[in-house]
Amino acid sequence: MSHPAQVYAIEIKATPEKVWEAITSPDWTRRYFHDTAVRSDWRKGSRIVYELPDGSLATDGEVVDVEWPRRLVTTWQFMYDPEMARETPSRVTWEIEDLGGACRLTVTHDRLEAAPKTEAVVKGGWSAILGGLRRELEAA
Amino acid sequence: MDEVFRALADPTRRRLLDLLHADPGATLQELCEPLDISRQAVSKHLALLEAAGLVVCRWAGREKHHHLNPVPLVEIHERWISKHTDAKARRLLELRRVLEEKES
Repeated sequence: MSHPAQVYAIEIKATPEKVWEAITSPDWTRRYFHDTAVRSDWRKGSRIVYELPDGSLATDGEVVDVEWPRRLVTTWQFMYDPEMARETPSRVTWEIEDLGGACRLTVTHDRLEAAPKTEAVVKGGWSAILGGLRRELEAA
Repeated sequence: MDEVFRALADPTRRRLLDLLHADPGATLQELCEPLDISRQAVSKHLALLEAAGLVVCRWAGREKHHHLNPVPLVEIHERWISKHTDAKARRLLELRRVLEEKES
């Protein structure tokens, strides 16, 4: 009966295209995602990483599904910590819903059953990330 | 933000958030079990929590799963509680916990 998915949602006054850009451009992620730069060619099956300022990897993963500007699914594994780097990759789904004049951005982090340390680390982390993302977007 | 406070102003809805905190993804059925009110009433409370952004629903086949969305609460926290007062408040809560433990 336990469903270990974590779900985070926020409304942002911006277009879906702009929110998508903020999620997929390194210039944007540096501003709200712990100073990391996201890198990918955004094709299904491609690699997606978040790079720390020194070039090392904060996270590693694969683009599982991509539907501009609505839905992005990737696997998720933290690399900055050896213990978490050994855990089974989890999954992150970004969904952007157009509300007309604003968007609802929902992040679902699941498949955390075999990644207990990752589960503990992201708990609370996503709230701050999404809050920062909205602040940056609405200030732009 | 008004909606968040209105949603939180009801003990049954706060109880629902407690239940979702303990059991993320619970279904309506699972949420009804520990509560002594009608299914319809629970459903109404959930709709209000959802409208306030405190609950997000996910469908898995025919099952509707409810999740506590902490983002609005974190935003309230960030708006009024600085890191400084946060540490002080935590120490006071800790003090109360220790004192209450001694009494019991």
